[in-house]
Amino acid sequence: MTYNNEDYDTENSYDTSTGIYTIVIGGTYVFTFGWYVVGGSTAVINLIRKRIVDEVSVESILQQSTNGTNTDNNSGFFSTTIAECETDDEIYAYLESGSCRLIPYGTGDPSTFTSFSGSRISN
Amino acid sequence: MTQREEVRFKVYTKSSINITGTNYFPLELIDFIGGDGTYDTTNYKYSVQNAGTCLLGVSYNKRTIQNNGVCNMVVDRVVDGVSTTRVINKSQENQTGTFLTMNPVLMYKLEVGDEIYCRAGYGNPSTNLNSYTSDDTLNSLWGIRFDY
Repeated sequence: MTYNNEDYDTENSYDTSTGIYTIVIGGTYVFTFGWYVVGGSTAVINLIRKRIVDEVSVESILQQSTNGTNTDNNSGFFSTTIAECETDDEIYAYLESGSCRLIPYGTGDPSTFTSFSGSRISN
Repeated sequence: MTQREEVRFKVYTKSSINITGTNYFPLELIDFIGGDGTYDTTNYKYSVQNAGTCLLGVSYNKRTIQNNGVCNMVVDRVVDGVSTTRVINKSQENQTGTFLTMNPVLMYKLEVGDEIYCRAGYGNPSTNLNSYTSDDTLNSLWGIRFDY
């Protein structure tokens, strides 16, 4: 899920081309992400933390979000969770299956209909 | 720089359980718990040891289309020696679709001795779409204290 515009990034650690945020300072973070339904499609979106453990890449789902079935086109879904992160962990939202969209219809700056955000709030 | 050590917790289950009646959300696994505060994996209640304003959240799945998928986030509190039970957030969706994720988040001022937990209401919410065994946290109940 490539949220390709950056509003702010205090550690300059978000890649707008990949949608990946790399943790600079380990700790407990709050993360949010949003998306919209494509009518007729069941989307499953996972918030992922990718970590290198013993030189092996390990992906863990921190939060799952789905519209299930029978949810109308352009319904918005917004998820929030907290997670413990280590330096160099990569955080991103990933579309596991189905279709979704990040913008329900045209908008221009400075409007933001949905976003991917994070903030460190503890050690 | 002084590092802050906030009170925080995140609990979950890997099972897919349709929670009937007004039963508790059976979240028997602890992802992490820090600072003060305890979580009982047998009665599914988090006990507050430090007063303060917390950001609290829960996620789960609705079931059939008519199903409201009610989740009551509850605080048990002793007031003047009397035990009280208060719902601090009720989430539900009526006729909005099936099996979608519900993820209410709120701020609430907690007191020492408060116990936090989730109970089902009308419509039998589900803990997860499907059971799983991987090292993931698809849905959870979590909280972190903000004010110091």
